[in-house]
Amino acid sequence: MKDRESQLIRELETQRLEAQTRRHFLRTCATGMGAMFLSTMANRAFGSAELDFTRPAVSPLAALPPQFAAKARRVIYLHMAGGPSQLELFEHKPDLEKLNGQDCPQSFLAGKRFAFITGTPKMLGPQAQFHQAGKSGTWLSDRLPHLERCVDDLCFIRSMRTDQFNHAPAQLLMQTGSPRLGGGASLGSWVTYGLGTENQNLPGFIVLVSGGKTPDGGKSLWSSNFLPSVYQGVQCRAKGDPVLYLSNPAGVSRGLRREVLDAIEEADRQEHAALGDPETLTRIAQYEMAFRMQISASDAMDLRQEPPEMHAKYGTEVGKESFANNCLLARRLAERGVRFIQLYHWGWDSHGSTESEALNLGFHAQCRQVDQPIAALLEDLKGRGMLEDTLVVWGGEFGRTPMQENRGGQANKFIGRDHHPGAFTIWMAGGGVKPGFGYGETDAVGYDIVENPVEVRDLHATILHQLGFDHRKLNFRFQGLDQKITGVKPAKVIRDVLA
Amino acid sequence: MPSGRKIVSGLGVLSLLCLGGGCRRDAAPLATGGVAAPHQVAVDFNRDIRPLFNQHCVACHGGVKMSGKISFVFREEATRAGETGRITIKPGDPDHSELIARLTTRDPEKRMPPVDHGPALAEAQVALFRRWISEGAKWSEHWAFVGPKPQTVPALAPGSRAGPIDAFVLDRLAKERLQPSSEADRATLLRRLSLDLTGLPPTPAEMAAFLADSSPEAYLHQVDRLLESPQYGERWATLWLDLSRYADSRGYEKDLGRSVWPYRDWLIDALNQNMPYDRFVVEQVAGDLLPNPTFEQKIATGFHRQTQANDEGGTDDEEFRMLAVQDRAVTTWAVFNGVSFNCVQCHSHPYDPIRHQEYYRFLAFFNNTADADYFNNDFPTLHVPNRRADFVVARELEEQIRRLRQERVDAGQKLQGESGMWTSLKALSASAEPRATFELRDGEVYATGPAPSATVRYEIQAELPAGEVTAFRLEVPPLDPVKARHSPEPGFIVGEIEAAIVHADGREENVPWDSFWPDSPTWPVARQGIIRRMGTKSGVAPASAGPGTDAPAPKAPAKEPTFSDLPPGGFASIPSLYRTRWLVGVPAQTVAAESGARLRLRLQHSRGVDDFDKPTPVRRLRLAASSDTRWTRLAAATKSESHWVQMNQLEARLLAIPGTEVPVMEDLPSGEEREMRVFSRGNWLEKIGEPLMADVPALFPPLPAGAPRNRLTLARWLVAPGHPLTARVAVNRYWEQLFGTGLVETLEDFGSAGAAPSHPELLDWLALHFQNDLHWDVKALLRELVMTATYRQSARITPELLAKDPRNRLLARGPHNRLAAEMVRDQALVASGLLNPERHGPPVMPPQPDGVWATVYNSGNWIDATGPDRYRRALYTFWKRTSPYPSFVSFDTPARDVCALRRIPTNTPLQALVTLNDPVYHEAAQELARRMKREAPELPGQIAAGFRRVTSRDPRPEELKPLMKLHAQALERRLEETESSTKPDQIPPDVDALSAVAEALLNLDAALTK
Repeated sequence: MKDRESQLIRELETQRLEAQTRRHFLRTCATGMGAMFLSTMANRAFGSAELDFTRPAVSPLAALPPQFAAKARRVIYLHMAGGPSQLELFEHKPDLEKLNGQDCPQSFLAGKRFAFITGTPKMLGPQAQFHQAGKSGTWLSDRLPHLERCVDDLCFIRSMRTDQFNHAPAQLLMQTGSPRLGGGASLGSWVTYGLGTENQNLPGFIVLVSGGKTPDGGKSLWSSNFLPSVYQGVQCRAKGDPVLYLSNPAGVSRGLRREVLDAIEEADRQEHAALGDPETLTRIAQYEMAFRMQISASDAMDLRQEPPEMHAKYGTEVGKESFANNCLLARRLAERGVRFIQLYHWGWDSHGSTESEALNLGFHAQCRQVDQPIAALLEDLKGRGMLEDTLVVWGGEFGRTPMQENRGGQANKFIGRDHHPGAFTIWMAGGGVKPGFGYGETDAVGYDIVENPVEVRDLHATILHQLGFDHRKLNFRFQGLDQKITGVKPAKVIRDVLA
Repeated sequence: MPSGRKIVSGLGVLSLLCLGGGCRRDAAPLATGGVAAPHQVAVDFNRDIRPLFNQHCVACHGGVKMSGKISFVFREEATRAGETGRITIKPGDPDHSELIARLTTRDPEKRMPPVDHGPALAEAQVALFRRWISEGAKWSEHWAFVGPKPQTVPALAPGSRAGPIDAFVLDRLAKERLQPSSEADRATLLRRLSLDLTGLPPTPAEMAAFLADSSPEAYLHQVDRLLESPQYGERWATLWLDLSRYADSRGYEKDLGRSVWPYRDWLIDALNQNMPYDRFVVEQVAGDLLPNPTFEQKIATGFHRQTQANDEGGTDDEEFRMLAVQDRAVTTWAVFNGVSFNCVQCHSHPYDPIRHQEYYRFLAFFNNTADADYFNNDFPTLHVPNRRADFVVARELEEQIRRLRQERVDAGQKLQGESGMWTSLKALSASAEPRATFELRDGEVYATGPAPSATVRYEIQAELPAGEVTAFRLEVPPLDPVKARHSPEPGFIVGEIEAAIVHADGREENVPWDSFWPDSPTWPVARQGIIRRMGTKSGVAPASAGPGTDAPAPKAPAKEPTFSDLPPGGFASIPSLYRTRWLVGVPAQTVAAESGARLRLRLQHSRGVDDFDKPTPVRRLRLAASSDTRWTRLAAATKSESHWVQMNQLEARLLAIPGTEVPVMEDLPSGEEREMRVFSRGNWLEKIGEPLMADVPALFPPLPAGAPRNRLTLARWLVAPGHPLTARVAVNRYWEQLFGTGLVETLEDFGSAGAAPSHPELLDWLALHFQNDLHWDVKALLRELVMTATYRQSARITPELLAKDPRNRLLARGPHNRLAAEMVRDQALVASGLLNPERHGPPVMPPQPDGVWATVYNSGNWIDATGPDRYRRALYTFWKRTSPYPSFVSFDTPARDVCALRRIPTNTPLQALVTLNDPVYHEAAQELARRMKREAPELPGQIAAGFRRVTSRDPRPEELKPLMKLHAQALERRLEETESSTKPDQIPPDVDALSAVAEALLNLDAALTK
C-alpha cells in the first residue's frame, strides 16, 4: 500500500514538473520569440531521439525545456580548489589513527604515481575529531560545526575517483570532462547550452572566485571551448565592476548612455533598412540587453541590499572578496534565474609545506572560511523553498592520501597529505538527491574504494540527469563527433543517490 | 532528414545564430544535395549511402566499437560475416544481406537501429540500401580523400566577362534560379577589401583617392596596394596565430611566460614576403631539418613549439612531453589537412578509414624531438638576437658550439666503442647517505627502492684488477632496457663524481680526474638552465617580463664548485632514461692498482630539475675500467684548451648578443631515437605491439620510397602533388576568411562527417589552380578571390534571398560579416589616431581591468602599458592561455590552448559592454572627438568626418539626424553639469558632446561589420 502511495506521489510530482517546465517555456516564447521559435521547439518532444538546441539569433540564451522532467532547475557548484582532505572532514577512519606514524605498506605504493610522495612515507592519522551528527547519524569532523546543522540534507558520495593527480588537469576533468586545456566545454557551458537561462538580463553561467587566486585550471575551467562563446562562464567579481566593463566610463551617466543607445539604434535601423541583414536587428537587441544588464547585474551583485541578519548568518562583509560573500551572491543569482552558478575557493592544497597548508594549522582557518557560509546558503535556499529545485554540489578535484607527505624523501615541515586521485568525497544537496544519505565506501584508511566507485563522468551524468538530460543527448557536433561532457567512455547516472 | 533544415527553411525573417548540430547539418547541400530520390540516378555511395551509415550506424558499428564485429568504415569489413556468422552486406544480393534483414525486421529485439537509439529508417532509405546492394555495393572513397579532379569551367552566356571562379558561382545560381547581386558601392568595397586584406579600415585619404580614381583599374590598384602593405602580414599572421595555438605563456596551472614572439614576427615577415604556401608549410613543420637551415627557418619551427607545458609541482614530464607530441600530430592533420585525428589515439577512426595503428605510425614523426616538458624551460631554444644584423654571427656561434660539442662526443665515443676496451668492475658494496636500499646483482648495483632524498650520495666499492687504469666508465642502464626504448624510466642527475683507490693495506688514495667524455651531444647543457644546483630556485620568469624587456637573459655559466670536471650540467639523463647512458672519466694520472685494491666511487646527486626537489637518483650502475693509453693521450691533447672552456666562452659571447631564447624544434641525434608503439586504448603508460616505423595512413598517397622517415619528408609529402587535402584545405580557409563561410563550412573536418562543399567543382578547381598555376602563391590567390564579381557584390539581402539562402551559401550576394576581435580594437585605434603602427617585438600589455590576472603559484603581473605600447595592434597583446585578454574573448577569440580552426562569430550583450565601456574604447572615442572637431568647422561636417573614419562611408541623412540629436542632448547635459559643478573643465563641452557621438559611432552596426 505504502509503495503504491509513494509511486502515485512520484507520478504526480513528475506531472507537476513537466507542466512547470512547459508552462515556463511557453511563457518565455509568448513574450519574446513568437510563433517561429515555437515551431522550432516542436522538434523537441520529450524523450525525442535527437535534441535541437537551435535558438533565434536575438536570444541565444533563451530558456529551453529539458529533455525530460527535471528535479533541478539550476546548479550551485562549490568547487574547493586544491583538493580538500576527505580524511579531516567526512571520512571517519579510526584505524588510520592506529597506524599513525608507521611506514606506509609497500602495497600502497607499488605501481602508483604520486605528485610529491617519495620513497616510503608514514601513515598519518586524522587531524580532526569525528562524531556522529544529525538524524542520519552521519560521521562528521568537528571542523564543520555549522554544516552539521544541514547534515541531514546532504547526500555524500564517498567513492569519487579521478585519473588525474595534478591540480590543473584534475580541475579541468572535473569541470570540463577533459583533463586537457582546450579539451572540453565546461559543465556550466553545457547546461546553459542545453537549458538556456531564465533571466535574459543576466549571464546564464556565472563564476565567482575566492581564496585570493584563480584556480589552477584558470579561466579554461569555465570556457565554452567548441560551444559558441555565449555559453562561456562570465566571472563576476567582488572588486571593480561585478561583470567586466559593466559600468559606464567616468563622465557617462545612465541618461547619456540611454541617449547614446537611442542614437545607435536609430542609425542601425537605417543600416538594416539598407542592407536587410537580420544580424543588425540582433545587435540592436543585444545592446538593449547590455543596458538592462548594467542595472540587473549591479543589482544582483549588490550585497548592501541584504538585511543585517542575513550578513550575520552568512558572515559576509560588503565589499570584500570572500567565499561567504560569494555564497550570498550565489543565492541572489539563483533567485534571479541564473542557471549555473559556479564558485571556486582556493586554498585546500594541504601539503604541509607551509603553515597555511598544514592540516593541523591553516586547514582550520580554511574550514572556517567555508563552514558558516555553506550552511547559511543551504538554510537560506531551504527557507525560500529553493533547495528542492537547486542542486548544490560541493567537492574538490581529488582527495588526499592517508600518508603524510614527504617531499623529496623527508617529512614536510608541517603536517600535510599529498594529492590522492584514488578516493575522495563530494556531497550534493537539494535538486532531487537523497538527503541524509551516503554512497560508496573506502577501505579502513580511506585509500582505496571498496564499494561503488563513481567516476567524474558518472557525476556529470548524474548532475545532467537531475537537470533533465540524458548526458548522451546533450551533445554538440564538432570535428565530426557528437561531443558531450561525459566523453566516449561509458558513464552512468548514480541512481542510488536520487530521491 | 536532419531537424535543422526544417527550421532554416521555415524561418521567415528571423535569422539563426549558428548553434550546434542543427547548424552543422544546415551546411549540408542546399536544394540539390542530400538524399537523391530513388529511381532517378544510380546510387552514389558517398552521396546516398555513407551519410546513412554515419548518421545511423557507425556510432556502434564503426572504428570505435565494432559491435557484433561489424563495421561500416571499410568495405572489406562491411562485406564479411559479423558475430552471428551472417554476411552483413552481400554485394548484389540484398535478400541475403543481414543489413537489410535487420533494418526491416519487425522484431524490436533485432531491429537496427535499436529502438532506444533511434527510429527505424524510412522506407525510401531502406530502398536506397537495397538498390545500392543490388548494384554491387560499390564503395568509393569519401570525396575529400580522393585528389581534386580537373574541372571544366562552366560555359557562360556569350559576352560574359566573368572569370572562372565567378563562372562556377553563377552556374550554381542559375541552377537555383537566383540572380547575383550588383556590385557594392565603392566605399563599401574598399572597406571590405581593406579590412579583409590588412585588418584595418581605409583612411579617409585612401578612400578619397579611390573614389577619385576613375580608371578601370582603380579597384585592382587598391588590391595591389593593400597586398603590398606591411599591415597585410599582421592581419594574416593573426589567422596563423590561431592555427599554431600561439601564446605568450606555457599553459596549465602556473602558466608561466614563454618568449616565442619571434615566431610571430617570422609569420608576419613570411606572409609579407609572400612565401609560397608549400615552403611556408615545410619551414614550419621541419625548417630545422632543411639542409643548412637559416636562423629564420629554425624560428619557423616555433609553429610546433607552441604546445602547452605543465610546470605544476609533481607532474610527470614524460606524460606532458607525450601530450605535446600528440598535439603536434593532431595539429598537423587539423591545420593542413582538415582531418580530426584525436580520436584515433584510442581506437580506429569512428567514421573515416584511418586505423588505430596508423595514428601511432604518424606520431612517430614527432616523437624524436629533444624537448621534454622541462620545468620552466623550453629547451631546445635558439638564442635569437634582437637585431637582425646579428643573426649571422649568432648562427656562426651556435654552429661552433654545436661542432665543439660533437667533436668532444665523437672523440670519446670512438674509443669507448672499441672492442676489448673495457674490463667490468664487479661491485662489492653499495651504501648511501641518507640510507637507501641496494642490491648487487651480476656485479652491478641496483637501487630500486624508494629514493631517500634528492641529495642522496652513493658510495660504491668495486673490485679493481691489478694493473694500470687509464679510464673508468660509468654506465647507467635502464632497469628494463627493451621497455625503456618506448616507455622510459625516470631519469637521473649526478652532479659530482669522486673516485679513490682503497689499497689492499687499507690506505685510501684519491683519484683526481683529468676529464670526462660524454656519450651524446644532447647532454644537458648548463646554459639552458634545466639543471640547477640543489636548493636554488629556477628564478621563475614572471610572465609579465614581456613588454619592453626581453626575457631575462640566462646567466653565463659560472664555474661550478665541483671537484670534478663534469660536462656542464653533470652526468644526467633528464627527465627520463630511454637507453643506457655512459660517461668515461679519465684520471689525471694513470692509476696503478695492486692485487686486492678496490675502487671507491662516490656519486653525489646534488641538483634538481624543478623547484620541487624531485629525487632523480641513479637506479642501476655498471662500472668498467680500461688500460688503453689512448685515453691518456686524448685527455692530454685537450687539456690546455678544454672543450668546456671554449664552449663556455663561445656561449658567453652568444648570450652577450641581446636577444631572446626562442623554443625551436630539434631532433635527437641519430641512434638516440625513441621507439614508438601503439598505446593500448590510448593509454600512454601501456604500450603494445611491435616497434612502429613512422608512416602516413594508407588512405593517403605513400611517402616517396627510400626517403628518410622524418619530419622533413612528412612536410614535403604534405605539399607534394597528389595530396588530396592540403591545397583544398588552404583555399577553403582563404575563402572562409574573405566570405565568412568556407566552401566546406567545417574547416576543421573534411572527413565524411564534415559538411559537404557548397561548390565542390569550384573547390577542386581552386585547389588545382593554387598548386599548379599559381605555384602556391598566396597573394595571387587572394588577388583572384577579391577580384571576382562574387566578392564584389553588394551585401544587401532581399527578403527573397533571406528566405531562400539565409546564410549566403549560394553567394548571390556579397559577404557581410562582423569584424574579428582584433579588427574591432585596431579600427578604433586607427579611427581615433591612437594606433601605434610599430611592427614586431615582444608582446605588450594594453590596459585590462585590475585583478583579471591572479594565477596560482605565479607571481606574474599585468602592468598596464603607459607609453606607446598601450596602442599597438591587437595581435601584439600578451596572450596568456589561462587568462586571455577579456575584451578579445567577448569577440570570440579562442584560448589557443590547442589549435583553433574556426572562430564562430556570436552577437552578445557582453560585446556591447566592451565597446561601450572598456577604457580603450572610451579613450578612442575622446580622441576621435578631438579629431572630428579639428576636421570640420561645423557640427554636421564633424560628425560626418567621424562617421567616415569609423564606417568608411558618408552618413545617410537619416543616420546623421539621430547623431546630431545625440550631440545636442549630450551638450545640454554637460552644460547642466558644468553649472552645478565646481570642478574646472577638463574637456571643452563641445568635445565632450562629440565624445558621446564618437562613442555611438564606434558602436554602430556599420562600424562593427565589413
